[in-house]
Amino acid sequence: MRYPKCRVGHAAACVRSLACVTTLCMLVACSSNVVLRRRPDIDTGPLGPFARCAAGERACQDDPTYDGARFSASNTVYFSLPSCAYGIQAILIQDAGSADAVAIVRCAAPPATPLMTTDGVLPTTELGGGTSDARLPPR
Amino acid sequence: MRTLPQLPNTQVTSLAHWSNFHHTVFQRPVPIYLTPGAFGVPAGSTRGAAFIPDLNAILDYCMADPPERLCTIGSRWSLSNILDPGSVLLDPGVWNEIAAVAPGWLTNEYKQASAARHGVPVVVQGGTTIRALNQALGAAQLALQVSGASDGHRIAGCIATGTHGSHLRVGAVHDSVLGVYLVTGPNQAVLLQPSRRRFSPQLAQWFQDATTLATRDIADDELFAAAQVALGGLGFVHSVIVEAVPLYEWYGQTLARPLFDPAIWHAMETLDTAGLGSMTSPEYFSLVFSPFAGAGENGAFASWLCKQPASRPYAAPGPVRPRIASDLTQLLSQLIPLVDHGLGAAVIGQVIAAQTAAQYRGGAVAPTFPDSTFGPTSLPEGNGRSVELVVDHADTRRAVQTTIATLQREGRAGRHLLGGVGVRFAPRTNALLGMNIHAMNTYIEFPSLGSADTSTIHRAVWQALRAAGIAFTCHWGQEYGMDASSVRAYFGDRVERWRTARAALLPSTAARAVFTNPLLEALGLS
Repeated sequence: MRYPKCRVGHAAACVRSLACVTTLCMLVACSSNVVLRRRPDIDTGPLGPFARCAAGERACQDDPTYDGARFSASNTVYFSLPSCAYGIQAILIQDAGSADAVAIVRCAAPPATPLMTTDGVLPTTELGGGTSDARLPPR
Repeated sequence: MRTLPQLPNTQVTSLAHWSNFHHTVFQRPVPIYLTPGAFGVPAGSTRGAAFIPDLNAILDYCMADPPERLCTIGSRWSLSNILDPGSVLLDPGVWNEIAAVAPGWLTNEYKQASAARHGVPVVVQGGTTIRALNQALGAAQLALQVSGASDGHRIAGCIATGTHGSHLRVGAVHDSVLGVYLVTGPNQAVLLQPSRRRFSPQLAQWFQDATTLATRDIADDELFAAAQVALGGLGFVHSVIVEAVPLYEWYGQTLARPLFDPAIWHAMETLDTAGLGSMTSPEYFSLVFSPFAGAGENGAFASWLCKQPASRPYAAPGPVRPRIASDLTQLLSQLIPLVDHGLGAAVIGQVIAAQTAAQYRGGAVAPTFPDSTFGPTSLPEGNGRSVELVVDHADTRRAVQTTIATLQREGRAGRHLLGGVGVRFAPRTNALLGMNIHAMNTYIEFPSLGSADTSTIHRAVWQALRAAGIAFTCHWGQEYGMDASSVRAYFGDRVERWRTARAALLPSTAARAVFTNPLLEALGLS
């Protein structure tokens, strides 16, 4: 949300604008921004630039702006993400923009055992429940 | 601009707008933003060595003729121009591994010297945040002896600018550093420690094996003392070795009194808190003054803390939310000076005083782990401003009085500092450019929201201190009112000794051009 820029002599108007915006937000309990973040007990800090991900599942792009202040804007609701052992598979923000917003997080499964190695070897089952790299007999 | 070499394990990005945490460096273009490790660790590699070829290639690129400055960022918290980037910016966050030094590699002299405090040397790579380090240490029933006021900064940046806390016995964070591992050029590294060695040569060999970098093992007091506060000017800080201690908890008291309460000012001058009701001699002591507090209102807040052994299993701090929205701070900062110059000036002072008093209520401080006491910041990014002065503790009363009087005078003129005054302490350091060069040192900080008047207020305080004949320096990581001559006046021959150490560690002109920054150049340190 952007507030109007103020100039000398327009302070009163700006204060009135702020009051209107604040009142409006209180009335509709708006939270136009959602921040999902790691809990402090697993947070290792950021790495690299921001990524910008547009709707429609388009590939995320490097965000040309590096400014963390966007994460603490007005009308932001904060959620702590769970510590998923293998990363996150999907996140649903239900009722985003309402006071009842809730995040539903689905953890990802561990990486699958490679089904096919680069030289075309398919792991085969072996006694004891494990697998080996033995080649399947030709059909 | 030259063509970058192939950097297979580094993300290379071009940014249109890069800003530091507080927006004192705002929307700078960064044509080459480098993030080693952004794609993960390549298969078959160990993390310690995986990104060294890229680092070597980056340094080769920067040191070619003409040299290109390499700006290596921490958590971007510095408000000074030390991190004002050039064309090449390196994010070293992947270097965040932590390992205790093998006990067999510690010298007998160090073991004896550290026995009473049960010191445990820990290798911490430069990109590690204080928070991540606290977590790792806490899980091992260990803790840092001292940190700054929050935990989001990276260890290399933390010590590079002299972050200090207010520990009356340990000193600043750089005073708990036992060794520094610097990369000074492509495939060139050095492990620095004092001449009275803490570590056997096995540690330097370990670094060489882990990184594949040719590593010199140097035990030299001057070079080590230079590297303790390196200001980004001595090379790439790959790792530091900090001394951890057994996990402890802080407990103590906060006392709220009127602004010029005699008992608080006496404690500030003597560091004796008995007159405040403290039953024991604290290890941590700090003060906050609210310069616009009215008569009869609380405007001086003293906090003292003592350590006790951990009484319960370690638990990390919980999440915090920003105290105020970042866009709201910007709006307020635009509005307040307009009101400030009109009829509402007195009201602004009262609002600031009330906000300060609300944050520092008196009462007991229940035992908390150090990373909860000095945990995640609730300060929003953007629009923060701050200056920190450092003076000989003998000058404390005059310096704090002068600062408060100047802020009050500026307020009466319609220019309010949108914040308060913090006062903290640390004993002498051996670090050449540590700000705590006196037997005891007083840090006087006045952080605030930014406004159109903030720079004028800062200049007024610096001018008033000079007019009063009070010698001071400014925090390297905050806005400063220093120039080359005033830095030399404060630090004396330490400046030339630091420059001599820099020339020894970076003998080539190209290397010194790579590891420099606007702060070094402005203050005659490059």
